[in-house]
Amino acid sequence: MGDFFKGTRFKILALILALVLAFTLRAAYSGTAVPMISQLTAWLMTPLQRASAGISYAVSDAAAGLFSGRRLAQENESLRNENAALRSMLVEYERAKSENEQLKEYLQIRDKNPDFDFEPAMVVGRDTASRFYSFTIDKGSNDGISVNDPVITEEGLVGLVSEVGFTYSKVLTILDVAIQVGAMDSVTREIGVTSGELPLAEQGMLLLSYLPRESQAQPGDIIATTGIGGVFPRDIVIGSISELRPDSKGLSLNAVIEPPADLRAVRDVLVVKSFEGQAAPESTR
Amino acid sequence: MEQKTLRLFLWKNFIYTLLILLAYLLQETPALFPVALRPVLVISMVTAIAMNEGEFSGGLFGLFGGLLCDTAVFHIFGAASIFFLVLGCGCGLLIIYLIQPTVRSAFLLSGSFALIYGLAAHYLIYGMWGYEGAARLLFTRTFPSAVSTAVFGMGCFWLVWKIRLAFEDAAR
Repeated sequence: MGDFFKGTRFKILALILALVLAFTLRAAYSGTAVPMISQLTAWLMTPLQRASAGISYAVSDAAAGLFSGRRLAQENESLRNENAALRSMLVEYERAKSENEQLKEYLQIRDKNPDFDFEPAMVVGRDTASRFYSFTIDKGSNDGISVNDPVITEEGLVGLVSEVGFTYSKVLTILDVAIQVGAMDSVTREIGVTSGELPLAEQGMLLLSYLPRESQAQPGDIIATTGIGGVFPRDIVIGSISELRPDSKGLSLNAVIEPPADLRAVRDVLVVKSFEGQAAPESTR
Repeated sequence: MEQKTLRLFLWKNFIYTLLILLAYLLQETPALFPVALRPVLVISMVTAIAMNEGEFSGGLFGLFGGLLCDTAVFHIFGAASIFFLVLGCGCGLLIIYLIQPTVRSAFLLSGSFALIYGLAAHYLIYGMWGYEGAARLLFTRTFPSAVSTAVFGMGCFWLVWKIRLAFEDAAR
């Protein structure tokens, strides 16, 4: 093996390793900056990923139709839409506003949120190392997407853009421990903060912390964003309470939140590029 | 290098490049594999190429696969490139000096590399931050993923081995 370490091939590999190490250190030092190599690779790969994701979704749908029957799949989809609409209506009812449907379709979101500037995107990749179901979408800075833009579906909040390339963006879901969202119980009006927790993320759920110890919150209550901080728009559904439990010190209540959509398998999303009350980019981190 | 030999060399490496691309696309495609069993196919393919072509090709294709993976991962850019380069080079050297290039070796090497990669990622992303319940993920995600990577490693080795033999036959 000593021959290898004395040879030219080893020197070439060592030189390449040193260069990559330098790039890595630069990337780590510059924080959010995406190196040019990454941009170029992603620019080449995004169209291929879009195609492979499309094929995968089509095959997955066909298999689902074959397995459980096309009729059952359509009925399930219809019930999911209906369920999403009912949840949204409940939030609106509790807020005593005139609209009774929210976030059912993109157009309806626009009706209620004329200030929203959307960019529809498709999930084209999922990180094999991520345990919080982070994903890559097929839209980037060329489409006006910026870091910290909220990501939603017609059913509710999905996450936050964490990195932007020219043709792709990486999204951290609200199941991630790094994402904290100001949230409010739509029934009791009590405010808390949601964040991810590893064991809950495995089940597609997250935690609402800092509810008052004497909170009247109940399982089934809808939890929506407060809009405080200007990172997420106000009144986007985060999920519903599935379980309440005191925190480890007994000072406040925690609630386990079940998002309306399965964030582990989301396919199509909307990136909210701007909305009323959005914080200036430099103050959102 | 003869004209024919050069042409075959370029074609072979072009096919390997496509195989790495295909492995990356399949690996990253959502809804293709169950979440708990998602293999790191690039590791399987790089291992297979390194076992058949030696440490230099293994290192370079490892670097290429790592660069692809770095565009999708959510940690520091370059970490996968470095790991895969060392993996490809180390795997080639293991085959030259210590291990027989067989399907069983491909299973063991792919699985071992996937396990090391998974454990490193787990420690850097979750373990060192002390997240509650992080250890459970080793059993629900990291170990099953290493096993599925090892299984695919056998198929990748067989495929690359056949390609190498075909090009060797054509060169004669």
